[in-house]
Amino acid sequence: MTTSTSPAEVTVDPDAYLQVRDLKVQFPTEDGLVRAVDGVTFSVRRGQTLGIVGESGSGKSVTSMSILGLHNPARTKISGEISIGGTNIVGMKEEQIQRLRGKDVAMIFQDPLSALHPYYKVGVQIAEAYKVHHPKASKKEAMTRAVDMLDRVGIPEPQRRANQYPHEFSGGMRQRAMIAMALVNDPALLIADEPTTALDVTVQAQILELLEDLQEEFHSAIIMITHDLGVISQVADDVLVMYGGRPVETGSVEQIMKRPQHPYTWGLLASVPSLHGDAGADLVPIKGNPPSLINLPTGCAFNPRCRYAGTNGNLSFTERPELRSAGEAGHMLACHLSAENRQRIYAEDIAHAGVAQ
Amino acid sequence: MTDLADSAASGGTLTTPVSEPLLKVEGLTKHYPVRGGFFGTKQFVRAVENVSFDVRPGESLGLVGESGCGKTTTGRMLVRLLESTSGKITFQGEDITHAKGTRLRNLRQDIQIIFQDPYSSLNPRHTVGKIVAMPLQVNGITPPGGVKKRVQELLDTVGLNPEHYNRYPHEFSGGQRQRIGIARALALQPKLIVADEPVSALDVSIQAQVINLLRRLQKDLGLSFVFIAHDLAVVRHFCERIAVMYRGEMVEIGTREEIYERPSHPYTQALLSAVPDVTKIGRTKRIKPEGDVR
Repeated sequence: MTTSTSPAEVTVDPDAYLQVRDLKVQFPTEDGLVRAVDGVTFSVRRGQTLGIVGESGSGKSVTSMSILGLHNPARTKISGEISIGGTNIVGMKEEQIQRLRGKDVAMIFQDPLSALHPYYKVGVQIAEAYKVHHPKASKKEAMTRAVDMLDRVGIPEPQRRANQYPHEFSGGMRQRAMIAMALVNDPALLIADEPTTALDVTVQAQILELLEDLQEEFHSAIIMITHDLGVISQVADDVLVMYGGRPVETGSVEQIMKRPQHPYTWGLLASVPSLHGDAGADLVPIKGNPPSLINLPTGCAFNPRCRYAGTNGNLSFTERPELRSAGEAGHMLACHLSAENRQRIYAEDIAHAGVAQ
Repeated sequence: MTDLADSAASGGTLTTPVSEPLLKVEGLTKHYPVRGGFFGTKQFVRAVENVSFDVRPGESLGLVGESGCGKTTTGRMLVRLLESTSGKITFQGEDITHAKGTRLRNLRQDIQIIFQDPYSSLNPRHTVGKIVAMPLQVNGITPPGGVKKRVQELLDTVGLNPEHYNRYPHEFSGGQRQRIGIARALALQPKLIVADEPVSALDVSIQAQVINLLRRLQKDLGLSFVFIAHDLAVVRHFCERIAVMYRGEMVEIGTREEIYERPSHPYTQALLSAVPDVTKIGRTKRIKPEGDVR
């Protein structure tokens, strides 16, 4: 692997609640070392939402799991810094992380049916999550709190619903129950990993709205992990695009959605069909498949799938691009294409395909 | 139901007059009995209720709706994987609602299905060659030039390497597996393909590859599609005509323009307004439908 020694230019907001610096997560396996996350730096302030976009294997879920300290330390190598409210959790003992998990950081998973325990009543599960961090609370207090939370996330008849099992809930209701469980300890940071992917659009709309309302109320920081660019443009303030375990482009939602600069971001935008525009026009897919994280292509990891690899000499195949300023403040990009080339290509090839039109 | 001519514009070459549908569905209904009562009080889940539409040659009809709206049940009744409770399915002028035996087998050559999950719909113990050749074998068909040659042609058509004939499904990625499923559906040169959520299990960049492939096949082979999906943008991209289902019933059917630009049913309007719009940044106003789909 070619590593450039120059430190990443990305600046971390020193006031941000969550600060991640040069995070690397590696799993040694029989087949080789899996570099699931290979140097990610970002920060999220309270009241802000960061959207992380990428395909399967881009490292977006591994990033979020490491913020919760959910990796088995015996089988994972983590380096870098994850600072939550001023505490670095990398290298922290499991017992210490447990004190943070659920209280300061909580997570909403994609599949609420497998994330909820089928044998226990929904209310009991939420009350349990509360009691973990409030050991002095009585059973009754915890239960009242659980019913309260169910009410807050918009579940009708919370008292009755708390006494039901997860299978008696519909998909959207289950996801609401999970959000209630995640929020029961008023966490300052909420990580939502594909929270609406398994849901219907109308339910998705309700859940996204709920998350926004709750964010306003609790002033929490949210990390929204998704592959759906529509969801991103609706909820995110900042966006991080990941590919092959590394960030390839980052900036405000405005910059990423309206003035994307990286060929991978272009590819994502051009391959999604739109509700407007010419339905007859062909989509412009990204050729090939996402790479294996054990054996990433040398140079730019995206080069085998990039239409423009080699435009700038041999650089794409030999040197890994680092995040650099893409022009505007806050807009960072890891690409070898020159600014003129990027502008020309975007105007000529990309602007008219898929949702980019 | 709307009758129109403009919808066929991008639907490939038409061999039969527009007026004659390839597939005609009238009053299709599927009820599942639940809790057969002790004293004969029977209750039913009305999965599909009185659904009617037709599909013309070379056309693709989209079937959209949320989970539980009956779109998959409808699709399965069309390929006769499920027996309908009542209603009539006519294919090329022939009533196939209760076709059995040889007639059903012959029918299956003309109507094929592509499944949603590329992982569970391919037998992991069979090679790709065997999987794609299976429909030919079952129907006792030996294509000119032999089965292997035909299978390799099919693999080539769907953009897979014909040399991968002897590989097993686990050696392929999700998108490639879906291509194998498409090759299998094409093996018997069907006239109609029911595609049940063919791209929803795939990554976005791969989705576009498969959608483009299906569009090319539709054009080149003059195929008709019943395209079942929950993703409204994908359906808009692929189908000239769209039927919207809600709670087992069809609430609206119309051309792409009618459904997406001037939706008349409140449910269609709510559904469309719920789709997060990539072109708009920030919170958008939505029309809220009441309650939850169960």
